[in-house]
Amino acid sequence: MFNVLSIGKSGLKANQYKMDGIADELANVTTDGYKKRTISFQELMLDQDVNVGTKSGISKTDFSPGVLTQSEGTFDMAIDGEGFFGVKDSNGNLMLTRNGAFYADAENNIRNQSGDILQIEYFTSINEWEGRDVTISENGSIKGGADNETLGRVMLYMPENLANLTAIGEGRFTLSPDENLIEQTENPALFGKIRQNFIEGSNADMTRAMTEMIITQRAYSLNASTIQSTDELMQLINDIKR
Amino acid sequence: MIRSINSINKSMNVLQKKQENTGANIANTNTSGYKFQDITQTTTKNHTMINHTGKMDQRKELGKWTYGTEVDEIVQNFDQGSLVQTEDPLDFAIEGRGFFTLALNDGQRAYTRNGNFLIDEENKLVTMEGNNVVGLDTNGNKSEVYINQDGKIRDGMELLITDFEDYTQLKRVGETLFTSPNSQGIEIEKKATQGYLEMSNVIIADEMVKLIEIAREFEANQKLLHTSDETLNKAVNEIGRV
Repeated sequence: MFNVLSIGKSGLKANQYKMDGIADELANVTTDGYKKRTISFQELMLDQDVNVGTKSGISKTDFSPGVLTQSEGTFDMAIDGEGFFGVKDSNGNLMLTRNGAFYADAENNIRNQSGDILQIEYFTSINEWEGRDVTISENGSIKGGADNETLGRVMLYMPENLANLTAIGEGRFTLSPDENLIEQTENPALFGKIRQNFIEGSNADMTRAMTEMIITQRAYSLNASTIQSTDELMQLINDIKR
Repeated sequence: MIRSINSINKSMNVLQKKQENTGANIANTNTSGYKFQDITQTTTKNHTMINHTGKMDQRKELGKWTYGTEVDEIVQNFDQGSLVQTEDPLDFAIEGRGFFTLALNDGQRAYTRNGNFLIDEENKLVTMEGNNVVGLDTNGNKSEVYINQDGKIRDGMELLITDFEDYTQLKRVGETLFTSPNSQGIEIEKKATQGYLEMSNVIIADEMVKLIEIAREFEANQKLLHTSDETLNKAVNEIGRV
């Protein structure tokens, strides 16, 4: 009988993990640039003709775009189409993100809220820009100053295979070590347009998440019923010999 | 008496197996492509009861007696599960008959209804366990299926759908996979629906009723066991006591 308990337990664990995933998605409904992840179930292997239960795991990240909303910051950008911004952390590691909420800090770096620095190809050093009132065009060209000259270019990147991106939190993705990155200059046709003064919202689907939450809750209680019923059977077995 | 205790023991073993199976079905109510299975039971081999009417050489045949029950067959149920739209281009579902064809790592063919696929580093369509999905290329030869950047199957390629005349010869191997040791199957011209997943075909109401049935049958067996035990006790300890 103990293996029925472990089958029921596997069901509880799997549904618990699914609930965590749904909670994560619902918590990030307003997080800019958030990409939701799907958690799916899989049958476990067979032990004497009956499977030993189920498991759940993160199967895929959904990179479909969120809604673009207007925003006021000069360095607030959204990518309308494919592509990622590149950001580097304090250790110099390059990460990709769709979250375009950047600002110019006191040391003349363009940062996001996590403190990562946006990758920009500077034609003129930012220390020599006349003010921060720049326009950013669709292909990332930053123009400003009295003569409206091109001061730099926001770099966009894309991995060859989206499946090789790993989420590390705060909307950032790292690449697997031997993944090839395509830069916008190499193949501009693949990339989307940069829209200044727009921010891409979360692609979390609240209605779907709520429905899945109900289903998961019911599945959880069904597995609890299995365990309860098995417990009663084991009680009966124990009562065979008082 | 001892025979009846033995019958009850057999019956409880069958019930335990059924409880395991119901637990496994319930644990997999949300596993895509899962097909539930049922356990059927049969009587054990029957024996002829003979009444010797007091003399060893006189035989009066009373009829056939069966002394217990055992697991007969494990029957897979291949009813269609409901299709759910996931909008993920890597999810596929089959409506009606047919299976996705997979190539396992040892070269063996496997078949599944679980269309929850991923792409690996080479942009090849694989299952969550890493098994290659088999498709047909433009010349009609079997090959791996490659997915383009935009999520569409490379031009001219199609997923290979295999059907079988007799589903009962399919062997369940766990992880929503089936093998067909006796038959190659027939390749049918059917397109899988992209962006949809076939959910588990477990009927919750049936499984819950099975849990109740098993519990009550178990209780009945246990009462019988107590009674047999008491009768045996009288026969062994009290008859002929002075």
